[in-house]
Amino acid sequence: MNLFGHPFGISPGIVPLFALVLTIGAYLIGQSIQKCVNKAIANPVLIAVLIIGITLRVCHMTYDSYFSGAQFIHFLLGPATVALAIPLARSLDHMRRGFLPMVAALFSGSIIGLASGYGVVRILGGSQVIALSMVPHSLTTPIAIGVSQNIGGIPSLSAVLAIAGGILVAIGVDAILGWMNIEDPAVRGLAAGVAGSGVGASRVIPQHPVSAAFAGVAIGLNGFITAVLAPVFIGLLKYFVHR
Amino acid sequence: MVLRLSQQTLIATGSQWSCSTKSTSNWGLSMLILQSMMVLLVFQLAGELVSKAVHIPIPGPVLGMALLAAWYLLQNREPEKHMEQTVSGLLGWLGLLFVPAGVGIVANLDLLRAAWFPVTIALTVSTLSTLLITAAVMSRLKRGRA
Repeated sequence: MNLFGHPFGISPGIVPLFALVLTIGAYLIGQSIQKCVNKAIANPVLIAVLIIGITLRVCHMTYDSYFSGAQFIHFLLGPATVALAIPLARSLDHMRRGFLPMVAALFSGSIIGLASGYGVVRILGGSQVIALSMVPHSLTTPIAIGVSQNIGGIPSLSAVLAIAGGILVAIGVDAILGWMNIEDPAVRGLAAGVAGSGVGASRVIPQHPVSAAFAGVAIGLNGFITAVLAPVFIGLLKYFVHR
Repeated sequence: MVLRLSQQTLIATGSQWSCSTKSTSNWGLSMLILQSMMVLLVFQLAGELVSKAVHIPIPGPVLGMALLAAWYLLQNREPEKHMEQTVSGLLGWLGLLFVPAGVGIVANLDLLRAAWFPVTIALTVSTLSTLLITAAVMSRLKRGRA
């Protein structure tokens, strides 16, 4: 229970402090690069992950000792997820009006997400375990880990894929939805949340409160729907392969 | 037992909440922010307890979000201003909060090394087609109804 080495010490120690400074510093650098370049590919999360990854390699620092400091930032994900309830409560009218399109989009996104990842891996000759780990890639990390365990994938690989897919959405969402001529903040929030969960939606959430509301709903409901549908999908697959 | 405990937590937030709305004007902004953080954490805790109690595949914070939204809806009122300020501050940094987990990719790079080609292609194709189809279905159906 003694986090800081001494019962009344106020400093968490040099390594965790270094990790904190590194994390916030790398993110701030990422932010200013994005401001300068003004392109979605200069995603601050991606830049921060690259800077930190290289630094850890150079300093021979393990992920565990990095996380001893970074956990203080990671921990805030919980309250931040709960916080999505505020834009959600404000956008309820919006949600009522677009309820059926939203549910239809949620189900089609969930099915495409879980089936296409599996299919493409198998077509390209990847193993069954890798394909199964790909199934929950569009879910928020804790749900992705649970689903992966359930259907026989590698949970840590699924977690990595969920975050990498999220970064991909954060980078691509403006270009793709712009190309489709979609400006509706509800559609932007829902699509980014379904395809890339929290990381993907972190691009659109600060843009508009309605996007934040639909992203929150998308992250929760897509997690639930996919967690239920994934074992069914695997079951059907086994049934048809065995015949 | 756990369920009853989480109900008590909810009721506790409720009383704290209704008290504070009366004396809001006397509170400094920093107290209001602290209070908002408290509300978020209490609902996260409630979500965590419900998730443990009923064995559904949804993590505590996501359930906490649903509970807090339901809390406002049942009372039929809009979130307070200080709540919105705190929340927009927190959500403005949302990207930063994913960085520690994202660095996990670098730590787990050897998992990808064995099958990087099918994995990279499948992740790109699947993620982008999910984005495209979700957006297409919702915007088509919305336009059709308008």
